[in-house]
Amino acid sequence: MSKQTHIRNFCIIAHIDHGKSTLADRLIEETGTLAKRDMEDQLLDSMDIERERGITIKLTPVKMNYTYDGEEYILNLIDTPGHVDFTNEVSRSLAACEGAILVVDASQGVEAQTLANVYLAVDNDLEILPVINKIDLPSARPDEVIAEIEDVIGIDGHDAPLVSAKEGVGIDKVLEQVVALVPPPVGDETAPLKALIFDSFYDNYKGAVCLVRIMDGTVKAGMRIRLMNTGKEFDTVEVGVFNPKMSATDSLSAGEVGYICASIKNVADTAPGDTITDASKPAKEPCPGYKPVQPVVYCGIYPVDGSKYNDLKDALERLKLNDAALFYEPEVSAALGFGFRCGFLGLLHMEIIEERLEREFNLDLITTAPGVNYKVVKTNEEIVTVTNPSNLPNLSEVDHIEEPVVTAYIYTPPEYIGPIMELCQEKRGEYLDMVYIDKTRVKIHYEIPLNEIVYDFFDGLKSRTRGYASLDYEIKGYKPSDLVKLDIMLNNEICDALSIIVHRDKAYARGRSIAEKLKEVIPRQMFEIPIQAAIGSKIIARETVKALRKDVLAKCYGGDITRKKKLLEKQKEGKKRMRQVGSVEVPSEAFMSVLKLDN
Amino acid sequence: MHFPYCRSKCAYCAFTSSPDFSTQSKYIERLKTEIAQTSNKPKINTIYFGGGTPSVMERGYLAQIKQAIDRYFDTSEVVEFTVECNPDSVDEEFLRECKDMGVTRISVGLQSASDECLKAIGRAHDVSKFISAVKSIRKYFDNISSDIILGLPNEKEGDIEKAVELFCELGITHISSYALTVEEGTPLKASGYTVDDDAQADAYERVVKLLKQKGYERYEVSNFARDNKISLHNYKYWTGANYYGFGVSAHSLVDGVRYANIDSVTGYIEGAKKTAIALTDEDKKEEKIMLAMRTARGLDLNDFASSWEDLREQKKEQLDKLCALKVVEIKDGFLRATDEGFYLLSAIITELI
Repeated sequence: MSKQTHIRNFCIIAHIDHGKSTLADRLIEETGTLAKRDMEDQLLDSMDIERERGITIKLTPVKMNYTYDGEEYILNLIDTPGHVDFTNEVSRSLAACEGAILVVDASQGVEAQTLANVYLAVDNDLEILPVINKIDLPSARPDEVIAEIEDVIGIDGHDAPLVSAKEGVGIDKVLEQVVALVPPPVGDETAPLKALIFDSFYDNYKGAVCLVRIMDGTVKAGMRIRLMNTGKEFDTVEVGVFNPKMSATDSLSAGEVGYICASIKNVADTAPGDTITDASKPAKEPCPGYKPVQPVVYCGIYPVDGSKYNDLKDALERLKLNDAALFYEPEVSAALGFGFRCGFLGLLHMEIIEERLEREFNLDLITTAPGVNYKVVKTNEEIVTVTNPSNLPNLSEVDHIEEPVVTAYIYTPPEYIGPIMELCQEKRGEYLDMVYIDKTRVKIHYEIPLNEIVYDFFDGLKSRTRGYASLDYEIKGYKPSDLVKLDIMLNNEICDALSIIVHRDKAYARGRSIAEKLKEVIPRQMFEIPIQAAIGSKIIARETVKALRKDVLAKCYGGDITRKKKLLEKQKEGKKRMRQVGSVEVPSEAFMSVLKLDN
Repeated sequence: MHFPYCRSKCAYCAFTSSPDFSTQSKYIERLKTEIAQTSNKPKINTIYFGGGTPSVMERGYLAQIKQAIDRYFDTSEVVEFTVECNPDSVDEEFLRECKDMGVTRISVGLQSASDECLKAIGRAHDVSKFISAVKSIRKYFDNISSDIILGLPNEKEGDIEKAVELFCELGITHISSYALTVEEGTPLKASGYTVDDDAQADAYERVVKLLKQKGYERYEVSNFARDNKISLHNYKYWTGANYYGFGVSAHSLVDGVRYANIDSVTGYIEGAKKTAIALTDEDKKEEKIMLAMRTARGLDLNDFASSWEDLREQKKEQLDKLCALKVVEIKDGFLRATDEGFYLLSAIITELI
């Protein structure tokens, strides 16, 4: 009998705050995988930033032993990120499982993001086990939530365990159901090796560590392996499992979850979704669903202090080691000096990277307005991709420009339908359809240009729906659009770091609000500074920073001198945080302040 | 010499001063002790009694202090001896005491030619009181300095012109015209009053123009003199000369070391120690720029180059920019602020230090 009958591979799907990590902790505790005293809250979320934001970014599998009906089972829990930016990572971890626990908050019910991931799980033929969490809360309404699960998702909920992960109630019932209901893996142990990489991370001693689900065959230390999508080959040094720390084993075979180390220097070579096979006896086909990671949102990142360029470079290198989805390349801006153009999976990913650079590496950064990847079709039919507005070819060479559009699903209580549709129209959205999920919930479906989403869509949605609506989106494709490059000129010189690509209909309003905002944040200087927004040579907005009239210490006698000199030194320090754009000194904050504009 | 007593505190004042006169005798004793610690009888040629309000001191105290100075300093070549007073505390006795101890110059604060303004900032006198005070002073002294403040609450159009006219009529030889600065911890700050920089700059421009017409020469950002009656004492601060300061919160600069007294009257009376900071070469260099640029004479670039560096080379880019903006000019080896540049001095200096 194959040992696969006693393996269960599952993941947990939950909306942010619905208690996924707490439940995972309880499962680890209940199975005795880790003694209670070694537990740290939210064990799986190992990065500080994950714990603080209560989100999971990196996937960490845990192997647990569990005895049920006198039989020993191996339960592999594969954690999944909860955010739309990381849909790609979610689908990979789903592909490594046969079942998914769906955690639903007993008072809040089913949420939009949960739905998107549940549908992904259903698409991957996973067995869904609903679990009602937080039944200890006074506002818990488990019966209604079960009914909601049955109505909205269409799965049977009457057997769903009622648990309180916080209080440790009902955990055994969850484990029993995992064994009873999640199908065992059915790989072919004798077939050539086929291991799906669902994540990888960098270890200082072991190099890139691939987190894998063995689909078929067996892998052992010493085996020469091949990555099927890249064709690269390596020698396996170590294989093992997470219980929950890394521990080496003799081998990993079909149905099992664990890691493979093969002295791989670069995590980029272990792209999640790729398939590892035996180089001497390769599998016929890789696992399906491999998609090279494509950044969706781009921005320029520069050190506030130009001399910190190398520190920024080192920091990005370090982050990249563990984040194959992070893209960066050096870039030079006339205004900001040396920096990097960085690409991200989405806005959250971008924010997280920025925050980690600032917190973990102690860097002060200037980030430019986030943009997307435009396809510029030139008159000679050549197609160029542009992420930095400064690289837009001369307009005379451009036939047309295409921009990425997304399919956006907005889930909302019905009372906000009006404001949301208004917002979508403002953002050049095209209405597709609208479905009442139940009496209290509507799904609105729009096609919206991505550059409108990355601008301030989330803020707009939040303020118009008091935070009740949520948004999921996926890239749909490219569409031709009447896009223009909006330049900002300070004292008649273009400031490249402030240029944006924007739809022609929006250019006037954007130009005006950027100019107004800059007028507020650029301090008066010894000369008058015209701030102009321009499309090509046409000025569409103008503001003026009046010349400084007075910047003087009224008196300076014996007792004042030390104090007054300190004032001047402070003033001088303040200047160092300024960027010289032509003749104008621009504070670092100015570049950021134009990112968030009020409507 | 700092005399930290005032009858009332002006709303804008951040100097150490106190309306509690009961400590006066102890304060004077402490001052004498401090002066007596001076060794080697240094030669001085200017003396300045400021405050607070020296004229509110009990009669006889100022003379005692002058005697102490004569004992521990070589005062044989003193050419200027100024005493500050307020219009409300000037009387014949005070003026005679000054005359007897060799005072050459009286500084009497006006601040504003508008009674409304004076009231708003808590001054203890009105304009007519100032006029009578100056008339009394004129009987004893012909070198008289006065101050006005630009940007006071309740200031109206024409107030500044009125003050200048008044100074001219009364034969005031030296005028300080300060831009109001709202300092931390003052009643003015607490009142939430803020200064309109542009209006202040306008007022300054008008003052400069008017005083020039009346024959007063601007020799420092805020100081104007007729017939060359500049404040020799204050000029020393801007040229980096040695000076000795005595009294609460007084500073000294002696051979590159700056000493500072505590700024609490009781602390001072109890004999709190001075702090001493030796200026680094960088400090001296930056102070040189900061102070020299305040004067109409400007910064002697050759002299500066002999001690530090030639700014024409080291700060070429900045100087080119500043010259192009016409806020400074370089003439006969001197770098100086232009009329347009004087009120932008901080911005100019931060380019150069």
